[in-house]
Amino acid sequence: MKIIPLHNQTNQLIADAIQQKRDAQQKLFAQYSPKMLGVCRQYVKDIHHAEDLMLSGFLKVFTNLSKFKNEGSFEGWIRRIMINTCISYLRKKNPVQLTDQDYVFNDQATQSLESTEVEDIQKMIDGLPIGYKMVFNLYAVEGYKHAEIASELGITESTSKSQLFKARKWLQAQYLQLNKTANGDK
Amino acid sequence: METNKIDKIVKDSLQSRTIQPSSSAWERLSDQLDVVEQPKRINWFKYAGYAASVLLIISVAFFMNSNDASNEITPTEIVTKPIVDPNDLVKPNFKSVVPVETVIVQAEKPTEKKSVISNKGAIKKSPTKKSTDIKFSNVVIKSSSIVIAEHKQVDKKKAKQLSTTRIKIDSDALLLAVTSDKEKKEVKSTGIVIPDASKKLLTKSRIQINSDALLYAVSNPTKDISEYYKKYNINRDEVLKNIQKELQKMNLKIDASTLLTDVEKTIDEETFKRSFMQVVKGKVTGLAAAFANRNN
Repeated sequence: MKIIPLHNQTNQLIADAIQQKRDAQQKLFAQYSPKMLGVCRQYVKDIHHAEDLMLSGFLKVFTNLSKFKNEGSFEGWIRRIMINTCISYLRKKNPVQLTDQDYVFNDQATQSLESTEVEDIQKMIDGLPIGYKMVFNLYAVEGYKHAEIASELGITESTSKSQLFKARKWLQAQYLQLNKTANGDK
Repeated sequence: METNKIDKIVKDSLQSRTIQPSSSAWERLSDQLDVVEQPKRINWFKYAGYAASVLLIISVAFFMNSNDASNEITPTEIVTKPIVDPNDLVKPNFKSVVPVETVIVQAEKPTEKKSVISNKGAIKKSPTKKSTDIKFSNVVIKSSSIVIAEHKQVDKKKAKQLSTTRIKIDSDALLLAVTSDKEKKEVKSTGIVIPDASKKLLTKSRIQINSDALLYAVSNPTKDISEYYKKYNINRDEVLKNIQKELQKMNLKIDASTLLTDVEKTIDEETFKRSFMQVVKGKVTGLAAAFANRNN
C-alpha cells in the first residue's frame, strides 16, 4: 500500500529535477547518494576520491535525467551511471592490468569469510589489482555477464572469466594472510 | 559452489552498503550544476538570437522583393501621336476637365459682335436687352480655369467689377462657345449669353460651367458666322424669327435655334453669297418632308 505513493513521489521528484528544480535534485541526492558512494567505494580506495566520482556521476544523472524512460528502476539507472563513471576513471588512470599469478583456492578460507566484517572485505577488494577488482565487482556484486564485462572493459569474454577466477584466488590468499595476522601465525 | 559462495558473501556485504557523503557534497554538486546549466541558458539565447536574425534577414529580403515587384517596369505601350495640324491644336481637350471650373472675366476693349450660342450648341438670340447682354469674344483657357479676356457691351463700371471679381454662372445658363484662332493657348469664343437670372450671379465670385456643354462647344467649333452676318449685313435675330415663322406655318415643333445652328455649321462663304435664306428654307422644307414621310 505504501510502495505506490513512494513510487509516485520519486517520479514527481524526477519530474521536478528535470525542470532543474534544485530542491528536488537535493532530495534525490540525499536519497541515493549513500548507496552510490558505497558503489564508488568498491572501485576506489580513497573515500574522498570516491566521493568526487560520485558527484561526477550525479552530475551526469541530473544533466541526463530527461533520458530516463522509467523502463527500469531509477536506482539501477543511477547505479549503472556510477559504475561507468568509476570504470571510465580507472581505465583512464590505469589501463587494465591483467595478472597471471595463480593462487590456490582454500576451502577453509571460504568458510571463515562469512564472519568477516564489511570493512575487511572492502580492504581485501581494495588490495586486488584494478583489472581483477573491476571484473570481480562487475560479476560478483553487480551481476554483469562476462559478455557485458568484456564489452564494458574492452576485453574478451575468456579474459573476463580468467580475471574473475584469479580475483577469487587473490581474495582467498588475502583472507588467509589476514587470518594469519589476526591469529598471530607467521 | 565455493566460488559462488564467496561471490555471494561479497555481494551481500557490499551491495547494500551505504556510506554517508560529506556535508559539503551537495553544495559542490550544486555548484557544478550551476556551471553546467549556465552554458545551456547561454546556448538557448544564442540560438534564439540566430533565429531572430534569420527571421529579420528573411523579412527584409521579402520586403525588398515586394518593393522591387511593385517597382517593376510594366511593358510600355508605344504611343504614336497622330500628326496634328497646328491650327487644330488651338482646340483644347476638355475631357479631363472637372465639371466645375473657374472662370475669371476680365474686361477689355469691346470688340466686334459675336454670335450667341446656347449650351446645347444652338445660336440663340438673347432674350434680354443688348445693354445687359454679356458677350465674350475672347476666352483664354488655362487648365480648369477660363479667363475671359474681353467683355462686350457692358458699361465700363460693370466691366471693371467683373474683371476684378470671379463670377459664378449656372451651368445651364451659361452659353459658351469657343472658336478656333491662330493662337494656340488662347481660345476665342463666339459669345456667351447669360439670362437675367444668371446676371445676379455675376456678382458672385465664381462661375460654374457645365463641362458637357463646354466640351460640346469646344469640340464643335463653329465657323465664324458672325463675320458672314456682318459682311452681308444680315441680322441673325431676324433670321431666327423668320425660321420660327416658317416652322409655325408648317406646324412643326422644331427648335429654330437648333436648326439655324445646323445650317451655320454646314454653310460656307459661297453659300452665304448665293442665298442664305434659300438654304435655310431648303433645310426647313427638307425637314417638313422628312416629317411628312415619317408620319406616312
